[in-house]
Amino acid sequence: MEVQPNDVDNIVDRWRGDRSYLIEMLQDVQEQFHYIPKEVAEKLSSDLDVPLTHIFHITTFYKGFTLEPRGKYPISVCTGTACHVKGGARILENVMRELNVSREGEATPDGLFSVESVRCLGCCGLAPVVTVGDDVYGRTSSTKVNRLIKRIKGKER
Amino acid sequence: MSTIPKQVLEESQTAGRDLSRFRMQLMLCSGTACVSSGSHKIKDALERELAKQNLDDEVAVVMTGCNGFCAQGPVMVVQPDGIFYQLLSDKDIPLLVEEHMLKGRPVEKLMYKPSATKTAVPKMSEIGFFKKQRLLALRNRGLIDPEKIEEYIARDGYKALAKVLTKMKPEEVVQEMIASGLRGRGGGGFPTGIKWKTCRDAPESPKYVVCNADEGDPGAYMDRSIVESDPHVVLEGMAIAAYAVGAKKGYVYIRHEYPLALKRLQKAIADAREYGLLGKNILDQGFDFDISIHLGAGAFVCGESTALMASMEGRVGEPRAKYIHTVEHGLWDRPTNLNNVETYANVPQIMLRGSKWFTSIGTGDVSKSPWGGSKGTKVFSLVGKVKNTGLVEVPMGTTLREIIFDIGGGISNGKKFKAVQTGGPSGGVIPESLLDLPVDFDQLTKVGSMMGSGGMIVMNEDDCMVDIARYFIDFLVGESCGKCLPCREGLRQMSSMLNDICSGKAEKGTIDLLENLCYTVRDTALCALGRGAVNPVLTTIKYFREEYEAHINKKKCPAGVCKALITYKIDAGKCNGCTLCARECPQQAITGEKLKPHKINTDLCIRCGVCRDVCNQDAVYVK
Repeated sequence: MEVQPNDVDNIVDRWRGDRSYLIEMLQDVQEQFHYIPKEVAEKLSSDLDVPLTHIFHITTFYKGFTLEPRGKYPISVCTGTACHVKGGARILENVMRELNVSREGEATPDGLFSVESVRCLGCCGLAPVVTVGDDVYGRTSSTKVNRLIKRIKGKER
Repeated sequence: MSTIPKQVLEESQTAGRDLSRFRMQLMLCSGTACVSSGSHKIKDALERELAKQNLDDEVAVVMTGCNGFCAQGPVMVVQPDGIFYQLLSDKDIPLLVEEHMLKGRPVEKLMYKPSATKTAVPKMSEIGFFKKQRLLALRNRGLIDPEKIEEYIARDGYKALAKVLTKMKPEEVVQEMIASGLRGRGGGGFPTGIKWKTCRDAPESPKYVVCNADEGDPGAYMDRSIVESDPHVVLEGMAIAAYAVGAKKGYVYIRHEYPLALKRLQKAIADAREYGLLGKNILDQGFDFDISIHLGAGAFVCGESTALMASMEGRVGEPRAKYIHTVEHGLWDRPTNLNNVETYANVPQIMLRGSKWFTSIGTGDVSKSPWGGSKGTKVFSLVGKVKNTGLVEVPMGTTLREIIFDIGGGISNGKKFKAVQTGGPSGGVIPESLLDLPVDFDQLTKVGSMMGSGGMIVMNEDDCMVDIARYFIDFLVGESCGKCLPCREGLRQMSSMLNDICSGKAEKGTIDLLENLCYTVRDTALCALGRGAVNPVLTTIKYFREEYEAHINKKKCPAGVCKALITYKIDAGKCNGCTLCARECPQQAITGEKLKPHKINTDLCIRCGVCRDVCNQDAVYVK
């Protein structure tokens, strides 16, 4: 999604330009663009008179913010304890190998997928759990996730 | 904002829910787990079939919050008879509606069948998973539609607030809370009443009440479930706390990972305002109180009180030393009472039924001091390698054995129990020899673990204890805020040692070194995140030292988990040559003719475990 000139203004206005709501503004940015674009961070910094380092301090501290664009289908593999004992870490490795990405958060060259681990989605009764966008898949396995990826690829072709 | 007169409130409390005009109510679970298993599809199918059979005037479909028996989802309870249906699929619905709702013949094949007897158990109350539970914090789960305030009110909702505002002075509320012995359900177990008193006695104003719904412990989801199934109980608990400590403003700090809980909370706050149960002059008693939501941005450390408040003020969530208490100098340096979701959920019942009733449940004696015991119940998320996974609420003092074997139905897949992990990353691992331990705050601490927020992860013989310790330390390395050195550097060194052990690179003496480092971190870290981090390591060393030694001395992982120390093999006696593993293997490392035993080429194998996952014959094993 392209950043429009008044996108940042709208978000800043929503919080009355009060810099104590910086986290809330960044959450709005994340919600709208699915990551924090560099130009948005810079504009927030100058509009609110907050050092850019402070914005990066916050965006790198909290896991809810990402500094690079995610794939169209962001895959999250739960690695909470219940999922861990049921093989969550192995699923994560398998998905990364299947998509040929070397680190979490990196999008595939076609922009379709990105994969990362999350710490407990609170569906522990269904472990292991994987989400794709807003869809939750419980009692899953490497093979099932691979099939799901193939299905999505087929749909997008 | 209009205020509803007291008698209207009382009328709606005695009138009962409007659902009673239906002959039958289908309480369909819409907790996150059941929704992901397809409960919305079931709802559509039910409504379609009921309309087809002209039953839609007689039978109501109600979407409830989490029922708790997540393993069997989607689940549904047919009221008033309490018939429990499980693992529903939309294909079952035409038969179910015709047989049960039309002809009155419950459908056996959709009922729960314990693996031991294989005979269907129709009633929810007769199922082992529910039988030993006692619901206080979860008393409305599955019984009300969480998005309808009227249904909460019909089940004595906001009655405690009305009682407190009309009949009790704030000091009396505080005294009642101290007498009840309620201790913080978020993990620390600090007496709630004492917290309220300190906050009330603090001279500064304004004061705040905050609800900690930043449930970060991996493997625990009770707070999410309470908010999803009964959001008003949390608001009512907060309002009572606000009255007791003298606050007019409250905040709920909730994780952004919980969208459904957030939605229900927003609706509950709006409805409570409309009914005059939040806002100005509540119930005409001159008491003002309102609640806002603050969305967490994703940081485990923000469950710590000072970090949580820093985060609410728009800063990074770094804890500070706690010699200055947040009850005196908290949010914006003002006295702030912070309790967890489950703690607030207990408050209305205590106020309504009295501290004497509450102290009749649980362990110890709190008549002299709330530290004297653990009163009431605790909600646990019983997950991992146990048959009946889900949320359970039991009286304090219930033994681990009762929880895991009677309620949880024992270990799944015929495996053997090995250990149970309680208390999240600050808790410990408890071995089989301690299964008869009565669970309360003090007993768990005594064996090196802690209550924490109530995660209970059951592990079997296939789980490696060194790997579990490494898992928690790696989790905390990622979540450490980096402010104090013992946590920032200490955990990193612990992680490196544990990774060495798991990969067979550790030398003799590593265990002692690791233990020593644990003691240093425990004694010097700034907040509970670092101090508690050592518990998973120390308890696994204490109870499973031989497993650490096998990794170091014999370069073996007895449980068959640590990748560097294992090889995958196929049991030629079990393999039927179905070729499934060979087709799924990402390395093409498996060869063999159709219908003949297959073989794994160990040089190509990357030990991803896919072959073991897909094998229907249980022929793949680890050595």
